[in-house]
Order: sequence, then structure tokens, then C-alpha cells
Amino acid sequence: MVETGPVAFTSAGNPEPKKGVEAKFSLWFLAALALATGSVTIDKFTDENVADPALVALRNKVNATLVRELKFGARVNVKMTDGTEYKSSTKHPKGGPDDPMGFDELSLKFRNSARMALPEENVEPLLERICNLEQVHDIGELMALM
Amino acid sequence: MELENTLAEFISEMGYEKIPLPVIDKAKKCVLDCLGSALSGYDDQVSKTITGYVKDFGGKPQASVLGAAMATDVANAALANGIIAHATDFDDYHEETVIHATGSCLPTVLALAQYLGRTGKDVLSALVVGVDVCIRMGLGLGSYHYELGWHSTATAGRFGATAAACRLLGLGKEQVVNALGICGTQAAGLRQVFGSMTKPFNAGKAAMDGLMAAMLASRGWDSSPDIIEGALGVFDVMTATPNPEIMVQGLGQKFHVMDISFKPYPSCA
Repeated sequence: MVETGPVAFTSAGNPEPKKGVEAKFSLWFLAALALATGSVTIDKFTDENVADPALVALRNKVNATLVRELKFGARVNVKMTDGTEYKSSTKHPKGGPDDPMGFDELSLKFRNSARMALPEENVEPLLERICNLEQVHDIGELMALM
Repeated sequence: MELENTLAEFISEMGYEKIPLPVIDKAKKCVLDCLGSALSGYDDQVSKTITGYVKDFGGKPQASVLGAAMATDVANAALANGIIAHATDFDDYHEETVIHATGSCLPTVLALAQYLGRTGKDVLSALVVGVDVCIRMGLGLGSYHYELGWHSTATAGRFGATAAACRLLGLGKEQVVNALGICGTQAAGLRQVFGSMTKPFNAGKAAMDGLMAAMLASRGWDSSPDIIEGALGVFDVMTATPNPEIMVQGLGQKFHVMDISFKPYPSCA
């Protein structure tokens, strides 16, 4: 059981995504992916995963409900077949002003993405320039690394 | 007209040295996060398609296209990078207005700054001003605007991109009012396209149109001085619950970039 507010619910309100590009718009798929793999990362939003029989079966067990008062918060309740229950809730998503991401966490997110897109030797110099952006004299030198 | 003038004055005068350090620091995080998000989408279908499009139809090589090892004209660079930044939906957002503010503003700022040979400080101050105006516009339009079906990242985002470009170009107050007027008549983007390639297109088009609005205004192009509050202006046409007061509340003191949230997970939820 996943309960969340109107923005998440209507933005990600597709219970049966058919393509990888629709994965991020499905609370059902995202919950199944989190349960099955333990982490929701961008490389998993593929056509194959969206159609994967095991993930589809798990997705069909997800009951996502709109609870307007939750706004950007969420409540999750997982019932196992043996009767065990796991519960968790949050008022604001991670990464917001109340639970911020620091330069270290954002740098990790940056590295993970940049390594897919750029030559390896560009990644650290680029990161160093962005983190000291106020000292960059010509933005062109930063853009040339991307 | 007063609202447009007040915003224009803020945009025209808010230089780097007037912005508190914690605000600059937050803007820097927005740059880091937005570029990371953009690079995560470099091989997404939308990124490949728009890169191919600007390769075929783009103009002089003035600004880089992210992750594509190529340059195109500033307007098309803003378009492509705005789309690439939002391709994976991994970019930052503002919780109350659900606007992806940096994604609409930063591509404009980077393209123009690269073309003009500007500094990191110029980029940071332009981004602070752009995001601030973007969120203020979103708050002014109210949640009803979004509920009606408008994609506020694109509608309010255009105002942010325009403000950022005006700041970077160093436009005076009157030119900024004209830029806002050119921007407002282009404000569009519908939520109907969510789940398709056209959602990130909305963000990129905002970045491109904002840049164009500022560039034209800098060349003497005029527009309505009353684009937000006028009888046929943005408030009248695009919402039923406008809030002009909130748009100028704490202007120059409260910087809305401080309320921007980052996404640890790449979902629309």
C-alpha cells in the first residue's frame, strides 16, 4: 500500500506503464522496482524492466492511493505473505529544504550521470569547476568539457 | 504595470555582490544538480532527436549542446539543453509550485554566458534572479493555473529564463519590461503532453523563448508594459486566482532558490 498526495499521484498515476519512458510516471512500477531491487536508479527505466513478468506481478500487488492531505509526503505499508508488516512515512521528500542534499551527495549524482555521457578524464575537472563556479573566468572553458 | 516595473527593477539591479553567500551557494548546487541531470539524459531518445535536429537546422556554433560534443546558435543551444536537462525528469523542482525552475533557466544562462564570454559569477547571479522570478510567477499564477492544465515549468519558466537572460545581458528597466512582454505572449505548455517526448520539449522551449525575448528587447523590440496584470494579460487569461502581492513579497530579500528541492531518485513522483 502506497499513499501519497495529489501532485505525485497525478504525475505518476499510470498503473500500467508499457514503455521505459513511462516508468517514472508510475507509482506502481516505482514501488515494485524499489521492493525488488532495493534502489531506484535511472538505468533501470527500460522497456525490458517495464515488461518484466516478475516486476509486473509485483506491480499488480501494489495498491497506490491518493490521500490529498499528505501533499508531498507519503506513507508505505508492506504486508508479507507470512503476515509480517513494514511501515514507513515521510512528510517531505529527501532533497528538499527540510532534508537537503549536500555537495557530496549531489557530486555523486553528478559523477554517476557524467560518466555515462562524457570522457572519463573530463568528469573530475568539470566537477571541480562547477563546485568553484564563482572563480571561473570564462564559462566557455566549462562548457567545452561537456 | 506597477508589478512589471517592480520585477524589472529587481532583475535589472540584482548583481552578484548584492546576493547573500548562502544563496549563491544554493545556486551552485542547482547548477551541479541540473548538469548532472542533463548528462543522465544524454542518450535518451529526446536528447538524440533534438541534437540531430539542431545539427541539421542550427546556426552558427555559439554555444555547446550538453553531452553532444558540438555547438550551435545560442537559441537552439538553449532549446536543446532545456530539453536534455528535463529528459529524465531528474532535475530540481519547487515543491509548492511543482516548477522545475533550474531546468528552464540554466540552459538559457549557460548558452548566453558562453556566447558572451561571461564569468561563473555572472552565471550564478543570473540563475538566482531567473529562478526567483520563475517561482514568483508560479506563486502569482497559483495552483489553479496548474490544475487548469498549464505546465507551469513552461509558462512561469519562460519568465524565469527571460529574467535570467536580461540579467546576463545587463538590460535596463525599460528593456526588461519589454522582454517580459515578449515573454508573456509566448507563455504556453500543456500538461496533456506528460508521459511523451513533448514534456521536456516544454522546458526547452521556455529556455529558448526566454532567451529570444531578452535578445529582442536588447535590440529595442517593444511589447505591452502590462503583460501580467493587463486586461488581456497572463493573469486574466491563464488563471482565475492571481496573487500579485506574493510576486513581490520580500523581493530582493527572500530568494526562492533557497526552497528548491533536488531529486535523489529519477521519478516524476
